[in-house]
Amino acid sequence: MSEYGMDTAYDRGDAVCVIGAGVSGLLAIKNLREHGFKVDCYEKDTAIGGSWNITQRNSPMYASAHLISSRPLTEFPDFPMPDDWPDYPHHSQVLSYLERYADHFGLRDAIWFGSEIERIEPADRGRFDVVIRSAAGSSGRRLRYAAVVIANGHNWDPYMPEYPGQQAFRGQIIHSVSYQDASRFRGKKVLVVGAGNSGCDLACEAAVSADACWHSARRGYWHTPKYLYGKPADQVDAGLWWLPTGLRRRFSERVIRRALGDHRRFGLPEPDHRLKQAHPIVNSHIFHHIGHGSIVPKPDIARFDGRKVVFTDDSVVEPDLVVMATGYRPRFSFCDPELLGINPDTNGFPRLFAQLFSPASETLFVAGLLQSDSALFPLVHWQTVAIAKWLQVRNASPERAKEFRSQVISETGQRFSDPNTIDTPRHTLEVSSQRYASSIGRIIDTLDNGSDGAGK
Amino acid sequence: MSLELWQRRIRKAPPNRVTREVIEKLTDIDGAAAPVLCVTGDPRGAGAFEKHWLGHIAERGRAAYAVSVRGQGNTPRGDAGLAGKVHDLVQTAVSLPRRAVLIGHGQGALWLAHAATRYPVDAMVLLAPQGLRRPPAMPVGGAKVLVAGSSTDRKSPTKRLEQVAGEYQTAPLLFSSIGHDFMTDAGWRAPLDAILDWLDDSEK
Repeated sequence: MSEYGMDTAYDRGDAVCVIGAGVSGLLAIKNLREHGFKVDCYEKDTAIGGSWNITQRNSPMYASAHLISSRPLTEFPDFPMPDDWPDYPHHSQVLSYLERYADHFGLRDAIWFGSEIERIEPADRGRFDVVIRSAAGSSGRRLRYAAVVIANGHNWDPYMPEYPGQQAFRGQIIHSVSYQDASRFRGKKVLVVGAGNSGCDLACEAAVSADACWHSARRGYWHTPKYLYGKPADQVDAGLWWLPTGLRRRFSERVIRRALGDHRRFGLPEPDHRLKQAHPIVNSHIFHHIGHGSIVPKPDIARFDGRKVVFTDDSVVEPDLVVMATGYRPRFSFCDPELLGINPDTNGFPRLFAQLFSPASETLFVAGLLQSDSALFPLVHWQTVAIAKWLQVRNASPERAKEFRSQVISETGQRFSDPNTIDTPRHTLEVSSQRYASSIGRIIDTLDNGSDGAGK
Repeated sequence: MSLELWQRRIRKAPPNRVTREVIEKLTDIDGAAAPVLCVTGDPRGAGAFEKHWLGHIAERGRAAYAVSVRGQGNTPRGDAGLAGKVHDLVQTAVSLPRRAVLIGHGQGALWLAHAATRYPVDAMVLLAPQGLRRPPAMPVGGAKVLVAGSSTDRKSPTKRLEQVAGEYQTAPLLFSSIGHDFMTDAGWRAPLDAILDWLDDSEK
């Protein structure tokens, strides 16, 4: 039994526990410290970076992955990326950016590597007991923290669909999580399932590396090219902020229609939704490859049949390799589902206030559990600033914190995404970047105004 | 406030990229002291700090850097006016290995005041500020602020120094045996030492 065994908790006082040292975890450490908090961060792996570290076992990265939002919109608001980097940096550049951020602000001494969270349990006065198991040690350590920020990411636990006959399929089926680079495709006939950003990227890789490539999609999507009018497409969109949402959408749809034409001419289904009612697909190559015949679009899979795959339009192909680019699901095995508002109706997804605050505890937060129609990093930056300010106010005056909580709950009633966003589990976490940022902005303003002189 | 500034910034096209002149003087002294990055409104840019300041800052145990923003020294002209100069200053600050102390002289103090609303400077010194009446917004990250100048400097009069310092909830540090050019005037050493003393004290 170690010194701080399973029964007595070692009290870390006012310190805050951060779970995970990926993008969200690093932002949480830096912003909490900047607001005067002590932070202990626990990272399961031996390095920072989370999803962006391709060497981590469950990283969703593959050799050709680049950002799909442009650099100025993606960088942290207070730590810009170097302006001699390309508009859409490579994933390895993003990792080096995170490493520079950690060094610049001296974050590494707050991180305990090789430490997995086994359990978090509410203790008295809103505090939390955290049970940590290190890779080396056998017995867990129990520490008590003033608050917990969960930043364990949501792109590491692969989601695999089940089609009839899939188990008996005689080719190979993998999930995109285990795909690293195009050497996997050489000499093979490949079917890529899923039309998200990974699915489209992988189909484009198979188009040049595999012997044949089919790409199966359940529905039609809007494909935004990476450039419009010679500028990154998201910067063109950001420049239209002054237009009312409806007009802005109509303008963007028109521009995309003009650039790409009729989806059906390429054998793709018409989008069954308006632009921004589904997570955006940003890809400039897919139409090019369809036009060259190196990607053959297919509808949804009906069933697997021995060596064959049958689609809903009764067409049949015989792939050697099927890649399921069907995404990921969030997972919080260390925590009571009720703490995060997870219940049978939510499909395993948390229901949080403002997609950030636990509905059951004032001192539990989930940072970065968002999908955004624009870049994600800045939104998480502002989330972690809001957490720090919230904790400051709560320390200074618990009564006041209660008032703010009611405001947070009313912000939760706001719609963060387009009201007609398509209703699939994949879109549970979807927010409109502009709306969500404004909402977090209102929360931060209230906390600022209410904490005059109370904070640091 | 800073969220609003960020929202406003990303709506505009980012400033174009210029290759910036940065002069550095690393220190042999091991220590935890934050590096110093200097900028001035003087057209000489980084060059103005080369003769005396950088070497002396390094001797006092801090890595010393100076940058020429667009249109100064050996840095070519660029677009975006004030926003472009602030961009150059922030880009240089984040390229340093550690969170830095920034010293802005003359117009450079104005650029620094803007930069500090975006990048959490470790501490900042507004030296003989020009063109700056009040903070564009409060610095992010709770930076310590020093406002300093010369009581005989007509370009940055004492009254203005007091006003700017008041806005940052501090009082100005006034020198008398020097004019506006703190970098190359004969009496450069004493004010610089006083500034570095303040930095050392504020890090304790």
